[in-house]
Amino acid sequence: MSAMAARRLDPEPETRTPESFLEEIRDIINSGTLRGAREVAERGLALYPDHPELKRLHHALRPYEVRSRPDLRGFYLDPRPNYEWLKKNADRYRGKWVGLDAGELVLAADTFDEVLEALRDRSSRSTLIHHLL
Amino acid sequence: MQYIENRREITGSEARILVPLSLDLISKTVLAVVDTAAPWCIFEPEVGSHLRQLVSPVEEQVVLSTRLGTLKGSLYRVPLRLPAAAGDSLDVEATAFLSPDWRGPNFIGYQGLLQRIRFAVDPETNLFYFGRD
Repeated sequence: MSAMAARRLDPEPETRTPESFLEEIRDIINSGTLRGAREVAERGLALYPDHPELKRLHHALRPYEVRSRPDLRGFYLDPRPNYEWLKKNADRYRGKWVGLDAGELVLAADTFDEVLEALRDRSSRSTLIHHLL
Repeated sequence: MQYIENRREITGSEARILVPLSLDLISKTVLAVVDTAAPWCIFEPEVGSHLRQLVSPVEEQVVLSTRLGTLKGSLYRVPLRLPAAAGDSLDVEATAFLSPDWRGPNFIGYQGLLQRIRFAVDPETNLFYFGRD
């Protein structure tokens, strides 16, 4: 039996506070993973079912959805014209945000917001925003 | 999907594989570095400020160690799409780290997205394959 399985079978010490569960969750997240974090929230909620932060985290850490989108087949165009533009012109626009549409420059600007606005009425099927760092 | 192979000119870094990532929340597509060593997806602050307005944080005080230093930020659950010019696009609920102090490009991280899908890279043709099943 693994240490984790053994730990799950043990009852939580009565001295555990909600904050100790929250701290354990934060430690997991700060280690660069979410694995096990929701289970800690579950264990905390078993002792403190009405604790708002444990409830919020339990919901926020719910399983992630991944969905294939066959309905979008044919919607997105080949991105290579935009890539070719970037390869040819990156040095000229260093430091700028660029908005491209099907291999054509729509706008080069200092801010993301300006480019976003310039592309507002263009379809996302052929547009690309990139910051030339 | 076709990816763009970077030779410093596109991101100013040594990162090699950049793929388009569609941000459903703002209906636009950006480029992001595929990095299995990055725990989370990371977005440039200008992009992140738009995303932050539309989603709730999973955890607000998160520390991330990067090659550009240690950063403080927040983790968000963000709907993203891998847009396919051939085959099916994929919608993924990703975990993104947003920090006003990040100075690098956008990243697709392992725990935050890649771990939730199947993917493969063909360097000969610059193709990034992905799917769920």
